[in-house]
Amino acid sequence: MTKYLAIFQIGPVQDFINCAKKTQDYLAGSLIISYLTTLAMVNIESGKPKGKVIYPSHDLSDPSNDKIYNEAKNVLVSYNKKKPDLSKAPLYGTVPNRFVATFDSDNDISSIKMLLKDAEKQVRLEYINILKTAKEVLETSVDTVIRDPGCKEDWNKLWDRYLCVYGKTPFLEVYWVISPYEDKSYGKDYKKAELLFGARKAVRNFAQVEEPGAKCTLCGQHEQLSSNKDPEKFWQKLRSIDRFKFRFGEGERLCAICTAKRLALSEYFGIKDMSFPSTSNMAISSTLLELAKNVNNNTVKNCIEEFQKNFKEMELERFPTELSPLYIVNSQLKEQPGSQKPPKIFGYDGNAFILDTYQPAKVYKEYGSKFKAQNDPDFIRKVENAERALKKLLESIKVEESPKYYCVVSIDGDDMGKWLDGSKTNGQMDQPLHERISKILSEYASKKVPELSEEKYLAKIVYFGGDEGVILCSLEHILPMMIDLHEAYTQCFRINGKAGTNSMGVVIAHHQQSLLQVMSEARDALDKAKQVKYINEEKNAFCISLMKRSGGTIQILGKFEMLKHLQNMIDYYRKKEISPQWVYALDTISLTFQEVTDHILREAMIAEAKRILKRHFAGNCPEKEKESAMSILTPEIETIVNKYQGMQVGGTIKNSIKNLIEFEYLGAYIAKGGGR
Amino acid sequence: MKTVKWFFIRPFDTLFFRDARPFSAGQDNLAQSVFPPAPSTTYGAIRTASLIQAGVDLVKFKADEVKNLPPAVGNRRQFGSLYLTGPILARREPSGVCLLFLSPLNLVYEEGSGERRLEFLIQDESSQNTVATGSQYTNLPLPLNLFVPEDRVTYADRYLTFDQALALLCGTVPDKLDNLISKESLWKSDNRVGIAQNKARSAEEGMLYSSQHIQINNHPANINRVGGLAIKVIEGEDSLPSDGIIQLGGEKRFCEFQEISLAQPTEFQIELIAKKILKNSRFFFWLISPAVFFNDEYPFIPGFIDYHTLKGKLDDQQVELVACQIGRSVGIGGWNIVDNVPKPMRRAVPPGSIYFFKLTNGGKSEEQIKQFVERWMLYPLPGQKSDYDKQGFGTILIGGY
Repeated sequence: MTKYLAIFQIGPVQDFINCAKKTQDYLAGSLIISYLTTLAMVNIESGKPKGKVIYPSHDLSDPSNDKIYNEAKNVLVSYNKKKPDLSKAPLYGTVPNRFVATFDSDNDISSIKMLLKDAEKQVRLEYINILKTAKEVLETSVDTVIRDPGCKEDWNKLWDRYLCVYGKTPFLEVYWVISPYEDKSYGKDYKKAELLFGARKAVRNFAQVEEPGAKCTLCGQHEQLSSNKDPEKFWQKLRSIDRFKFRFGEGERLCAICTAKRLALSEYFGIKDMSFPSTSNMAISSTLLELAKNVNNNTVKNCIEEFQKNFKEMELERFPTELSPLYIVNSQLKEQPGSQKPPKIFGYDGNAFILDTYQPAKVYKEYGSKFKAQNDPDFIRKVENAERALKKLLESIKVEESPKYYCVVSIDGDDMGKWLDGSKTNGQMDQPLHERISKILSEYASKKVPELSEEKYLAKIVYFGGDEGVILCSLEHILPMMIDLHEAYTQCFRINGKAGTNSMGVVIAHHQQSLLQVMSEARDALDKAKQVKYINEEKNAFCISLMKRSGGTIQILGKFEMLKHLQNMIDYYRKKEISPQWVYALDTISLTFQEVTDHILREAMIAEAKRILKRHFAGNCPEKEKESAMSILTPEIETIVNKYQGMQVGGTIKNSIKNLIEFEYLGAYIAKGGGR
Repeated sequence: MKTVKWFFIRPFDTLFFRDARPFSAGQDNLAQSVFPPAPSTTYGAIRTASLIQAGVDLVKFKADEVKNLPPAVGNRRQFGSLYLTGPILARREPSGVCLLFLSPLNLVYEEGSGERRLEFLIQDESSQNTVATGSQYTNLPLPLNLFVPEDRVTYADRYLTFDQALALLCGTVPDKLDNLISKESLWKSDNRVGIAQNKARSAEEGMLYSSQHIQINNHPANINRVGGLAIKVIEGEDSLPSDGIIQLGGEKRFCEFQEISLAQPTEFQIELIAKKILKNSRFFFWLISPAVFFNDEYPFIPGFIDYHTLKGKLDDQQVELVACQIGRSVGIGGWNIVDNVPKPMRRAVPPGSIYFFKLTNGGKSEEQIKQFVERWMLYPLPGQKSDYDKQGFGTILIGGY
């Protein structure tokens, strides 16, 4: 009996989600796509003919799924009149941008076609509602500028360009296919549907939209919002309104699409707590954790009070001070004996803990102040006082300077298509197995990932649906989190005794580095990780990109089993048992080995690495401990060289030595808390 | 046949072609680059170079105070006769300049295969027309055929040399992915950190920025292998001397240009392509520069095709569009120097996109088809919005299948 499979996808993910200046933009983009996909899923499952979504698994007993799913249902029942309330749903996208549904044999293809067309229509309609809501919010807030009859027409015309062109929202890509299948040949038929979907996506049709005027400072693709053809005046007015002062930064002039995205969380999804950590919050999170651990210590307590007082005296107008701390910082605060309301500084934006921030001109320009001017001697004194108080506070917890680097981790399951068409399961594949895989992935995403990221480390999930996601993490916790998430995936994803693997692309970046660049680098790093190939081995690799503030990026590739060595080294560096200088010494020595022939180079370098490492143990380290550490580290170094030599591309001994040095350099870099 | 001239442009240092994001010192801290540049960038640079060569004062030109402008340039409001193809990525080697083309979207390799053997997906009679058969369905808005491979494939996304491209046009697919040229080996991004200086020439507070420059790679071990861009001047060939200096892209970076003789498709190759087309009355256009077609509802199909019937006329050939592969659209904008305002940005079909046609007025002779191939090889397609073809948008290669 012929049944039908449907694959449905919403995009463009890269242009829509990754186009972000703030972490909140990224979050909003992923949440919008997640919500719209859920809406289409609900449409399929509640329409006629009734379809069954088999990927992603949406177990309604899971409260997070239940919340978004039910809200989407309410919206559909109200014919898109009602707005969804996602204030109680997890504050990140949990549904991937595509789903797979099946239809029973008693349905003919034309009725399924109608249903999918309707799902596409609903998605577009809802996206129009998101755009219209932003338009209305702006109209009511900046009415004096917009309601001028001379510019009202231009204003409406500008928005209409994004709402509907030739009957469709021009900047939302929706692709879907329907393909037949039979139970007995499910794997083969699923593959056919996937190939058809790939073919459909290879024709990226679009409608022409002409964008005059200056372009959005965020996406660079669409016209800046303005009234009376004066974007500067419009955005100045908008920034002067209280409810928007934290939402649009100085110099930002966004298009309708990016503005709607920026406003969607609060204005459309009803999410009032917008305290998603910024990149600087992520960078300094280890300092906050240390403060939380010592919050009851009298010296620290006094320093906190002093810093708080001095910070307040700068009378900053736009400095965010009511952010929620990361989960484990919060837990740490609650665990403190006699815990009361935590000091306010735990809600300050991360920049407050970075010494570079305290430059009067910079502070004045970025956050505004009630003082008359940036060169007002009183203001300058207040800034200097705040800086001094911060130094004292950091000294009280024995931190020289807060870290300025943070990490973005991009994760993706390996060979998912091959698992689903049966290539990985000796041809065994049917619908129940497909559903089981979906359930495994859903459990990993909704339970394991939060447990092993936000709840255990200084991390924050930005998006996680199915087998892929993006997580922000502090530099200090990046390696243990990567190891845990990878191990959990290989343990959860087991089909017929065979384990699945995933790959990760990680970027280590300065907190002020453009998020757009960082996200693009994370994507690139994940691609590079996927290209790491070994004979008869799964992909199962990582690529860590180190974006230097001075420009230039170093990419370090490897397999997950190599990370344990790096973590060991970091522990030795932090305990000051080994000096990280050994890496630089090894690098210098390697230059003198340029002329050494390949067959002895490997042995020579390993011998040198052992010798140099041994010499860099702390002088007071007992010989016995040194020997014991060397007995662990030496084989690890050899294994790493072997791993690099085993790479199908670039596995020469010379490359392996270079890779080893860069790999060890990464450990030293993480241990010192990143660059300055 | 028109006399055409080819020029090779070699940058002295890095190049910088900023995207459309506004960049004001002190407000933004990142200026990103796009590469290869849009044809409008090279067109503008060559117009400016010809004005300078003709001794025209650019300020007066901007104010529309110059009479007797070179006919190739036109005037401040209108383009003249200058008609270009390109820019095409190129490499000067001891044997001559070699053009490099971004692989078509249907040149793929099997996912996960060790050897990464290449396959050129084509839409032939045996391929399944998913819309027509009714057994499968997609939301493709036009009744075009789709290229459904037999296994999972990945787009090659690399560059082909002129010889490899010509072989592909005749039906010979390059063997392996490793035989093609990776983008990384042709150019790399160079993020440069900059500061603003005050009058005392010390760094100004809050004026740190980063700009993404493009460094065209030269072969480290072979100083005779030099990377650059090639353009073909189809009309207005007197607009440039045989060699000289032009300024290209942002920051007016200097480049050297030089007229070159380029190995054209041989008579034999043209004949091979023509024969291939004649055999099945089918041909394809492979876009090597972005195209801005004039139909706003379906700007992804060539403007000379009626989207109701998918049929059209090109020269005296009746053609029918049967299939295509289109990459994600790219924004084409720029800066109007005369009025000092941004140009309108339009969405363009990206290079690498490919269109498959059927000749519907049969009975053509080999000679006619040869002329058709010669006419369109490395030439911009018609049916684009005004003046886009003149600038080199929609340049194609033509092959048979």
